[in-house]
Amino acid sequence: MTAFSDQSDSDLLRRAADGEEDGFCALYRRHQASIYRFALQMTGSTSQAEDVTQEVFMALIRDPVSFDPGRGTLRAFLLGIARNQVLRRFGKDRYYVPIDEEAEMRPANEEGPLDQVSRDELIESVRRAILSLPERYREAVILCDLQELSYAEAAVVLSCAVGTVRSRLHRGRAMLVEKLQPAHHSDPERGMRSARCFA
Amino acid sequence: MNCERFAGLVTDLSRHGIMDARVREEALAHANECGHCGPRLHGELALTAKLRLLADGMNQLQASKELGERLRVEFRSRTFINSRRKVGRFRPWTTAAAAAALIALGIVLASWRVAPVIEEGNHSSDTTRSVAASLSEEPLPEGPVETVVEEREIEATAILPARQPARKRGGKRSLVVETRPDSDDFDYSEIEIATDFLPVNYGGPMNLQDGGQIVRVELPRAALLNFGLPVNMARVDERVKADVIVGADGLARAIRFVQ
Repeated sequence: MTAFSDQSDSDLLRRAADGEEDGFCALYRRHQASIYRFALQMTGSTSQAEDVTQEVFMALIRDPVSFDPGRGTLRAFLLGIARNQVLRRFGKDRYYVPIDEEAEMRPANEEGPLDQVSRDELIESVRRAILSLPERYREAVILCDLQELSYAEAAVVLSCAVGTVRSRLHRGRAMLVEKLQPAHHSDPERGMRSARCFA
Repeated sequence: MNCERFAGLVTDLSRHGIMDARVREEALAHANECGHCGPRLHGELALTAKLRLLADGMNQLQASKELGERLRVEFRSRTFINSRRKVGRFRPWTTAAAAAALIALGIVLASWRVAPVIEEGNHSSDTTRSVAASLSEEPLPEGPVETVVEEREIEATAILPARQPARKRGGKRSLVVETRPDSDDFDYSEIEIATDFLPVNYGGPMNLQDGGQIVRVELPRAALLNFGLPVNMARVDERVKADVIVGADGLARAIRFVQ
């Protein structure tokens, strides 16, 4: 297996296309986490993220030669498939942020209990803020800031120009800043509203 | 730097993206001076930190192992199906290529058998016709070659010592191809030199698709004159060997002289 870790994506893809299971497994191990996290960040659902990840690699199994190295990296190609799968699911069910999955998404850390609670709250607020963004801005923020793709790679995933990625990211971040300001930090479902003090 | 230009740079500035060092310094200086852009930069930097925190928190998340196993099983089944499809797949271009190759092979074989006769198709003369007519006044009966030749008016003697007898193929006589005997005691001093076949045109275009045979005969040397060949008048009384192609209809089609 270590031999496969040194090989490029194109070599592994060629092996997979030739029916070598080890080549496909190496590709899966290399990219599954990225695809899964992208789908999870976009949908907020672990089950949806699993389904999207499965569909992405099923597409790779069905047609391994559809990837064109001249158009970008394999990671960008797979993220593009994942994005299409996510958008397809958005058309079916647009509102799913299951509460019972929040604990699974919380990272384990070794801080004190209070620090961990505040940290988890902060992460949760950011996650919810991202999920509340319009899709076009959400995917730009996730790809560039969470997946740490370059503008060019994100442009391949989103099938748009680099300038479009930059503008969407700029707008998405501005919206996030606004959402994450202290006045908006409280849960809107509680019905708390800021009130002007006339005293 | 003004606020409008700063707004275009604040994203890259807060994300610590690659940008010109001088522009970065100008932007930071503007943020320190401007009461609007300074807080905006701080907000963007705080957002970057929060996003990094979220990304780090989700860094260990990955798909379940069950999904990996499902995909592995699916890959195996797909590979098996694809291999079966490759075995049983009908390839029209392969079939067409094979058919074309067979047709080309057939054409080559047919031309190889007929070409020596056709090449000389225009070398006949009137005297040739008369000799050929004398050779084929009677249709050749079915049976051994020697019998056929003995009935010729020219009293030709069929001699086929080193040739295989005429063979039957599909109920019709087939063209006898000159072959060498397989026996080890073959005398190679008897190797013969022959002219090309000279067509006998009275029978129409050469067509040996229905079969035929080669008959070895002996003719008066003067018969060479009938085909435009030179004759040594000192040996004009001697006889000369010749091979006559006789079609399935019994008519002579071509002749070659053998030395």
